[in-house]
Amino acid sequence: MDVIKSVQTYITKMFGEVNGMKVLLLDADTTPIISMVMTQSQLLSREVYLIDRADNKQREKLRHLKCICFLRPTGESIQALVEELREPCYGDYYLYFSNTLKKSALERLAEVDEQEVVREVQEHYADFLAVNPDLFSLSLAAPADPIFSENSATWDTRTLTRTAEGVLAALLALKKKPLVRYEKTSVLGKKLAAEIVYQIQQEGPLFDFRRTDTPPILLVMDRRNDPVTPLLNQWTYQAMVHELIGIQNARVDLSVVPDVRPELKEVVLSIDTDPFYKKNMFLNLGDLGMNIKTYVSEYQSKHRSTQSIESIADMKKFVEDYPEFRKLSGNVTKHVTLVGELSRLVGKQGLMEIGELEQGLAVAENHAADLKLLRQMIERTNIPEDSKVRLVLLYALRYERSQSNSIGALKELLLRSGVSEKKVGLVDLLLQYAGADQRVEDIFSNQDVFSRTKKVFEGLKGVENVYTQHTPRLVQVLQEMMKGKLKDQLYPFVEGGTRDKPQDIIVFMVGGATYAEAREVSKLNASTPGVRIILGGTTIHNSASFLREMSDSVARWTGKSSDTRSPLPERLRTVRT
Amino acid sequence: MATRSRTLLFLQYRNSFARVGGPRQPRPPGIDTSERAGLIANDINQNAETVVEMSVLPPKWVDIVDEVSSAFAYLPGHLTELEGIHKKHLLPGFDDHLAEEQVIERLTDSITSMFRDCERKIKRVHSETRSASGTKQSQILSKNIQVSLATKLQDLSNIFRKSQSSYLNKLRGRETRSKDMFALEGGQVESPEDEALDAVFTDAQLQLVQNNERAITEREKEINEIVKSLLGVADIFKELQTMVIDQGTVLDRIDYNIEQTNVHMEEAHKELVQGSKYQSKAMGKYCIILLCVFVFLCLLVLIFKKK
Repeated sequence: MDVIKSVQTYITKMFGEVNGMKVLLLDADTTPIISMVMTQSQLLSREVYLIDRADNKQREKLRHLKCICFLRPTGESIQALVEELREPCYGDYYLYFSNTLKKSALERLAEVDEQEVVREVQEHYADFLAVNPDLFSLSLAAPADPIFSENSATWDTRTLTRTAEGVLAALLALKKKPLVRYEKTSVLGKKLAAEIVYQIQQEGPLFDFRRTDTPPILLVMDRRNDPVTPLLNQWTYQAMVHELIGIQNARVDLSVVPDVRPELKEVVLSIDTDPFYKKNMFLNLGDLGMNIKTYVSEYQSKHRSTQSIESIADMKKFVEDYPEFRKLSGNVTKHVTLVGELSRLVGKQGLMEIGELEQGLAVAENHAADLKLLRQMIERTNIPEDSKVRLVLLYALRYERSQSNSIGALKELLLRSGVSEKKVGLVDLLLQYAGADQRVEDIFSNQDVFSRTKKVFEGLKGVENVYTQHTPRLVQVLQEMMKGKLKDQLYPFVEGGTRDKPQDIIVFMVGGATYAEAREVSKLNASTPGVRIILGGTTIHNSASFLREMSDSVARWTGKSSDTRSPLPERLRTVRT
Repeated sequence: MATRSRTLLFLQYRNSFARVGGPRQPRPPGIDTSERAGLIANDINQNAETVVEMSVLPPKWVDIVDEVSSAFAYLPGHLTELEGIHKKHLLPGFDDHLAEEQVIERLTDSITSMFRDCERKIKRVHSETRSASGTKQSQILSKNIQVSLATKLQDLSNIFRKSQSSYLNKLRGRETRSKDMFALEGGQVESPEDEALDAVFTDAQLQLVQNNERAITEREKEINEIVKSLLGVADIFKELQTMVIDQGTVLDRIDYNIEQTNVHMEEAHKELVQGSKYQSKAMGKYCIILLCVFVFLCLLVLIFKKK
C-alpha cells in the first residue's frame, strides 16, 4: 500500500517493455502525475530522450524513434491521438491510458491507424497524484473544478466522474476491491460511494483480486464535517510550507521571498530525491530547527575539508566527494532558505500567539477568555487580516450554538479594523457551508454531557505542545474503525457489511484533505502494525484554498455562480441591518 | 497494480477496418498488384508505406550513440576485472608480481582511454546536430541524449575512481609500513655507536636492503601512474559536470521542462508578432518618407515653374 511506488511501477513497466530510443507523449493530466514520481534524469536513464505534449502541433517527424503515449482517456487526448495517428511522427506507438478506455474510443483509434504503427494498447491505472506514500490527490479545486453544482446536494457532473475515476484508479493501483462506507449526513459522499460501487460491479473482471481475510474498506468522508482542520495554522514542516507558502504538485514557489537567490526561485520538495525532507516532513518547527542545524554543521565539516586542498590525496578525495558534495550543498541551501522563510513569516505575522489562540478555540471551551483574547487580537495591527478572519471563523464554528455568542459584534469589530466586507462575509458563508447543522457529529465535543466529561479527563492528562493540541476528526474516526467500533448508523455501507477490524483502509475526503491529516495517517500507519491506511482527497487544502473553495461553493448554491464576487457584500448587508 | 491490455481488441478492430478499407489499405492481398509492382516503387503504387521506409533513416549521431552504448556495455566488465586483479595483487606473497602489474597497467590504460573516447564522442553528439541543420526538436533530443550518456559515464567513472583510490590507499599503507621497517634499520646503520656493526652486515643482507629499495621505487612509480589516471578521469568528470543536470532540482522536473518549451514557444510567437508589427510599421514609414520627398519635389517644381 504505497501510492508512490504503485505509480512508479506502472511507469517503469511502460518503459521496460520497449527497447531503443523513445519519445514520451503526455497530456495535461498525465504530466503532473508522472512528474510527481519521476525525474527527468530517471526518464533519460531509461532511454526516453524526448518528452512532449500530445497536443503540441509543432512536433517534427522523427521516424527512428519509438513513441510511448501516456494519456488520460479524455476527449481532447483521444482527439490529439487520432490526429497524431493519421500522420504519425514516429516509428512505433505504444499507447498507455491512465484509466479505462471506452470501446468507442478504441474503435476510433483503430480506424485511423491505417499505417499500422500501433503496437500496444494498455490501461495502466495511474490516474491520481501520488503526494506521499500514503496520500494521493486528484487536484480538483474550485473554481476550475467545482464540486457542487446548483445546490449543496448535487455534484458537478464532470467533477463527480473525474473523482470516481480517480478513486477507482487508486483502488486498481492498490489492487483492492473494498467495501464502501460513507458519512450518513453527506449527500455528496453517498452519491460518490454509490457511483464507485456501481463502477466496480460494471468492471467486474478488473476487480477480480485475490480475496483477503478481511475486506478492505473505502471510507468516503466529507470536508464539511470537519471545517476546523484546514483553518488552523500548522506547525509541521510539510503542512507549514503548504499553509504559509503553498505547495503545488511538490513544487514550491519562492519567488516572493525577499533576497532569494535566482536558482532558488522555485524548489522541489520530493520524498524520493530528498532524504532530508523525507526524514523531517512531519516534524514540528522546533525539532526541524534542531535537525537543520545538524544538517548544516554536517555540510560545514564537509565544506571545510574541501577547502584545504594541498596534496594530491586531498584533491583526489575532493573530486571523489564532489557529486555528493554538490547534491548536499544544493539541498542544504534549499532547506535553510525554506525554514528561514517559515520562521520569518512566523515572527512577522505573530503566528505563535495566533496559533495558541487557534488551538485554544479548536480544543477547549472557554468562552469569556477566548472572546477577550480574540478582541485584543483583532485590534492589533501587526496581525494580517486573514489570520484575524480565520480566528473569528473558528470562534463562530465553536460557539455557533451557544446563546451568549457575539459573532455579530466580532464581525463589526473586524469591519472597523479595516477588514474588507468580502472577507468578513466569509463568516456567514462558512456557517452556511459547514455549520453545526451540516455536521455529522460534534467535532468540538461540546454538545452533550458525556463528551464534555470525556473532554475534561482528556484535559487533565496534559498536553505536550500548545500548538499541536488539536487532532483532526479523521483520527478519531480511524481509531474507532480500527477497533471495529464505527457505528453503522452514522457510517453506513453501500452494500454488504462487516464487523471485522479492517486491515486496509482507504479514506477519501470529498472537498479536499489536508497535510495535517496526512501526517496523522502516516503516524497511525507507523504506530499500528498490521493496519495500512491511505488518505486521498479531491485536492489538498491550506486555509486560503479552503476558504476560496468554500465561498465559491456557497456562491453556487445561492445561484450566483456567474459572478462570484458580487453576492458576498450583498449578503453581508442583509445580515448587518 | 492491476493493468489491462486492450491490444487484442484493438488489433481486432483494426483488422476489421482494414477489410472495409479497400484500395487505401497499405497491403492489398491480391496477386495482381505483385505482378504490376516494379522493383523500384513508381508513382502509381507508391503508397504510404514506401514513404515511411524512405524517411526512417536516422541521423548520423545515432551511430555515435550506439558506439558509446557498446563501450558502456564493456566498461563494467573491465572494471570488475581490474578490481579482481587489484585484490589479487594486494595479497601478500613471495612471488614476483611483475606480470600482474603489467596487466593492471594495461587495463588501467585501456579503461582511461575508453573514458576519454566516450567523453569525446558524447561531446560530438550535440555539436553534430547543431551543424546538421538540426531543428528545435531534434536539438532537444540530442541534448537529452547527451545528458543521459554523460550521466551514465559519470556514474561509471565514479566507480572507477573509487576503486582506483582504494587501491592507491592500500598501496600507500603498505609502503609506509615497509618504510617504517626500513627506517628502523637505517637508523641502526647510521648511528655512530653501531658503526662497528656495519662491517658485520653480510653481502647477502646488503643485497636484501637494495632489493627492498628497488621495490619501493617501483611502487612509487606505480602509485604515480595511478594518480595520473585518477587525475585524467577527474578532468573528464569536471567537463561532464557542465552537461549533467542536478537531480532533485526544478530543472529535473518533467512538467517544468515541458512548461519551459511552451514558454519558449509562446515567447517566440510574441516576438514574431512584434516583429511583423515593426515590419508593417516600417512600411508605413517608408511610404510617408517617400510621399514627403515627393511633395518636396513637387514644391520645388512649383517654385521653379513660377520663376
